[in-house]
Amino acid sequence: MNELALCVYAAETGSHLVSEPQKAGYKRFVRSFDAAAYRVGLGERGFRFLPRSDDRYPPQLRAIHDPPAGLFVRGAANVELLARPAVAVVGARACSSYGKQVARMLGRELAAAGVVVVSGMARGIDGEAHRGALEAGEKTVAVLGCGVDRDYPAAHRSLAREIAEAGLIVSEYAPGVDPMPWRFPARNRIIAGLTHATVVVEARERSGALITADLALEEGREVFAVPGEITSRLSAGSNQLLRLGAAPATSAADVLESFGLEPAVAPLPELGPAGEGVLARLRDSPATADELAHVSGVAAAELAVVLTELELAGVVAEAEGLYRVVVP
Amino acid sequence: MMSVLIETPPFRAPHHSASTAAVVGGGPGPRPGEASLAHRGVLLLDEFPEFQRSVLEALRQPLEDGTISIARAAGQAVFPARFQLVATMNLCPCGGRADASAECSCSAQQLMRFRAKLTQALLDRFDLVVTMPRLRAHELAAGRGESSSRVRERVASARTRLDTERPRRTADASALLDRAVERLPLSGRGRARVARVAATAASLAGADAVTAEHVAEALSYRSPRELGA
Repeated sequence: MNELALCVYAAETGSHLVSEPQKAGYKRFVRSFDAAAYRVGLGERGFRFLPRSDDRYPPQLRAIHDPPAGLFVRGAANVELLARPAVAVVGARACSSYGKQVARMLGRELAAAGVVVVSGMARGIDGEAHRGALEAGEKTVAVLGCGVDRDYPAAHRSLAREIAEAGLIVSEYAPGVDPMPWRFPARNRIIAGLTHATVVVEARERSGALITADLALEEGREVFAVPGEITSRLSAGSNQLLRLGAAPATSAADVLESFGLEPAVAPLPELGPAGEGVLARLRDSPATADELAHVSGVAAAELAVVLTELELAGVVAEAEGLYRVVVP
Repeated sequence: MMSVLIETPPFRAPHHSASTAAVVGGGPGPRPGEASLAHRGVLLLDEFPEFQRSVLEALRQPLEDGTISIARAAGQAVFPARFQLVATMNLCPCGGRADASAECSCSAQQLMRFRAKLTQALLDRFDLVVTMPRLRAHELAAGRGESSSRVRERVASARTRLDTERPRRTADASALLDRAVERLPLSGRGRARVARVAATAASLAGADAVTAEHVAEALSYRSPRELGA
C-alpha cells in the first residue's frame, strides 16, 4: 500500500481516508502519482512523511482502531520522539485564567519530569500546555487538524515556530489542507492515540477536549481531569468526567505516578519573611494585591516588590488582577 | 466657535459609536474632533474596544506627537491634540471575566474578535494598565482614602520635582528592571515606559531616588498578556 499517495489523494479530494478506497479514481491517481518527486518537494519545505508501515511509526498510535495512514512531520526532533512516554494536556479554547495557569504548570512539570507533552496547539489550554513544556526547556508535540504548514491558529504562529525548533508538529493531512471543523475530532483521536494518558484541564459540557477523553478511554488509555469550581460552567465538562470516574489531577505528580515517575523538584528561591508570609497566604487561595495587603499586613510598596520577585521567580502568576501560586 | 477663554482643562467623553471624523477631526472645513477639543485635558474613551478600529488606529499619531494632521485637496490642516487618554473596558464582551459573581459566557470567537481591536502597538502606548476586580463589601465599607485636594498637592509637587531633576535609580532598582526585561515579555518601548513610570512613582512618593519598590510598582502597571490579540 502506498500511504503517501493515499494521504495526498485524501487531501486533494477533501476526504478523510485511513485505507485505500476501491475506486477507479483512486487507482488512476496512484498510477500517475510521483511519490519520489513529492517527497523531494516535502523535504525542500523541511517536512517529512512517516508512513504507517515504517518501523518508527509510534506503536501506541498504531494500536488504535483507525490509525492514520501516515503522519506529515515538521520540526527538528527525530520522529522517535513520538514513541516516547507522552501525556496529552487538552482543554477549552475559551478558558479561565485559572485553567491557563494550571495548563502551563502541568505542561512545565510533566515535561521537566521526562514525559512528552502532546496537545493541539489551539488557543487557550492547548497553547499554554505547549508553552509550559517549552518553559521547562523540553520538546513538545503539536497535532494539527490541518496541514503542518498552516500555522493554525494564526495567533500561534510564533508558538508553532518555537515548537518546531526543538520538537515536532504532526498531522495526518498533507501540507496545504485547510482547517475544517470536521477534521478536529479526527485530529483528537491522534492526540489520544499518541499518548498514554490524557489530562483534561478545563472543558465545558460539549468541548472537543471531551472527545479526546472519550477516544482515550475507548483505547484503554488513562484519563485525568483537573477539578474545577462546581459553580463554573467552564469546568462543567471536566467535573463531569470526574463524576464518570476519571482520575482527578490535582498536581503533575498525580499524572506522573501512573508512569512510575516522580516530579522534578525545583528549589524555591530565598524569599525573606514577607515573601514567605505572602506565599503562605496565596497557597490558601488566589488573591488580589489589595486583599494581600489587607490580610498580610505588608505595606503596599513592599508588597509590590515581594509580588514582583515571586512572579519573576516563576512561583506565582498574575492574571486579571488575581495572584495564584503555580508551583507545587 | 469658542467665545470664552477656557480656564479649566477640558474633559471630553465621546460615545463609542463616534466616527473617525468626530474623534480626530475632518469633514468639510475641516473641523477639529474630540481629540483636539480635549487638548491639554482628558479624553475618556469608555468601552474602549467598542470603538471602530479606524478610530483607535487614528489616535496613534496624536498619542505620539500631540498633533493631528488632516489632508484635504485644498491643503493640510494641523490641529493640536495633546491630551491625557483614559480608556476603560471590560475583559470580555459579556463583562463576566475576572468577576467571581458573574460568570463569563463568551465563546473563543467572541473573545478573539473583542481583543483583536487592541493591537499590541496601541496597548504599548498606555503607561498605566490597571485591572479592577469587583469591589467586595468590606472594601466599600472601608473608610475614605486620601482626599483629592491632598492628592492634587502631591501631584503638583511631584511635577515640580520631575521638571527640575529626575530621580536616579538605585543599583537594586536597575537590577530588578534588568531581570524583569529578561523574564517578562517587555519590548524596548516597554522597558523605557516602566523606567519612566517608576520615576513618576518615586516623585509622587517624595523619594530622592527610584528604588526597587518603585520599579515593582511600575511593573504592576504593564499591560497584561491576556489583553493582547
